[in-house]
Amino acid sequence: MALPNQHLTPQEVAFICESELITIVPRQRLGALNLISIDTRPLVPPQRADVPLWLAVFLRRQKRCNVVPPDWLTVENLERLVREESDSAAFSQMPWRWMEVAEILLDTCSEDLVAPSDIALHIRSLRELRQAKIRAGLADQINSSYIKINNLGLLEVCEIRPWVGKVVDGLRKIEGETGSAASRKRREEADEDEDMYDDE
Amino acid sequence: MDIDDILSEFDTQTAPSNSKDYDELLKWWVNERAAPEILQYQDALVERIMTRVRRQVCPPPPSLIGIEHVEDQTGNLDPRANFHLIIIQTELERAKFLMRTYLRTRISKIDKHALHILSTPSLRQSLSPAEQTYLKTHQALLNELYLTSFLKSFPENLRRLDDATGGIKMVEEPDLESAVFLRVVRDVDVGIPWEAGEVMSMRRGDVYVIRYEAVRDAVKSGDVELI
Repeated sequence: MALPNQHLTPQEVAFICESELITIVPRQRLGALNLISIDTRPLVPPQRADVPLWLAVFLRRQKRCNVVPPDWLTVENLERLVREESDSAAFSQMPWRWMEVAEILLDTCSEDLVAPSDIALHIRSLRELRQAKIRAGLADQINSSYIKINNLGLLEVCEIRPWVGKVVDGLRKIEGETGSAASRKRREEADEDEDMYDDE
Repeated sequence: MDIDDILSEFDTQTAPSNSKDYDELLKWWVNERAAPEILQYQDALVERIMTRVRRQVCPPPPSLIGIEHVEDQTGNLDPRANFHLIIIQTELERAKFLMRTYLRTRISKIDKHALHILSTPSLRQSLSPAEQTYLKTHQALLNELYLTSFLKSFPENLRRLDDATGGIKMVEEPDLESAVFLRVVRDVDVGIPWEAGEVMSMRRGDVYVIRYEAVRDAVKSGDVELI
């Protein structure tokens, strides 16, 4: 377990992501389960069912189901997204946990995906394009008031958090100090004025 | 309306209530991790989940408690029941992990800001009874230790641990102005104190980096979630 006063670690982000629902096609029957986080309906092949990602991964590893990849995780869609991403300066819209879901699915059930190696390639180029944009874009945007970072995924946010958080905090402190420095200067000037009067 | 909207609407419609409970706790854990101050203890929520955890463990064959015991049992049971058991066990471990990490995050904050929480009644209210007991006894033990090991050799007027003379406070307080990352759950208007009360309207799904003090109330009401 990570130290509780740290930011979320990638493992914890994956843990959070694993409770998302995903569609599977069961290969064998499984009765209804009353779990803590969810009551699953009975799995009857070949009816599709929505189960949490961790359960899907578990069943898939035992070859008891096939995972239906989410709509956005297809070569065509990713190709379009890569194009969009490189054409426009803004971030294209991705699901909140796109990187985590893609990573887990590629890792555990690449056979259920169409052309997994192409998908992995596109995910990678998307990630690199977006990382470059984050680095270039935040430099202009960063200030101590607020920054809007729409369309970044959870993992991407967690990646930039350590330094963005520090920079924003640092800027705030510098601004606070210059504020107090300005007031100190004013005070010193006032003191000097008084000194002048004393000399007279 | 984008795909996330549709998906989350679909989620809220069909997800059974206990799934909401789990997701809620997940959210409050992440909030707790990100927020600089300690948040309200989610009493009812924790209790509901613990009831479910207990129901999974009970009726208690004591052998259900550790994963190795489950493996012991695998020989005796028919494979199907066995498989159910493994899924239930896996899920139980996940829920236990979440609960532990939630409570530990809170304890680390209690340790860090112990004196500040003790001296602020509103913060003390946000602790659970168990956490309050922990805070008091732990602090009493620490004081005792400090006193016997070095404080007693100090002059009388230097023994206080919450001294504020000399302009520097000894009590560590959470930095409410530190930057937090958040995602907007429901549309909300947020006043920005340092921009002369300028109001910013946050739209659902937006992600921001902002000082905690501006969104403090929105976090408590659940309009935004920290990440």
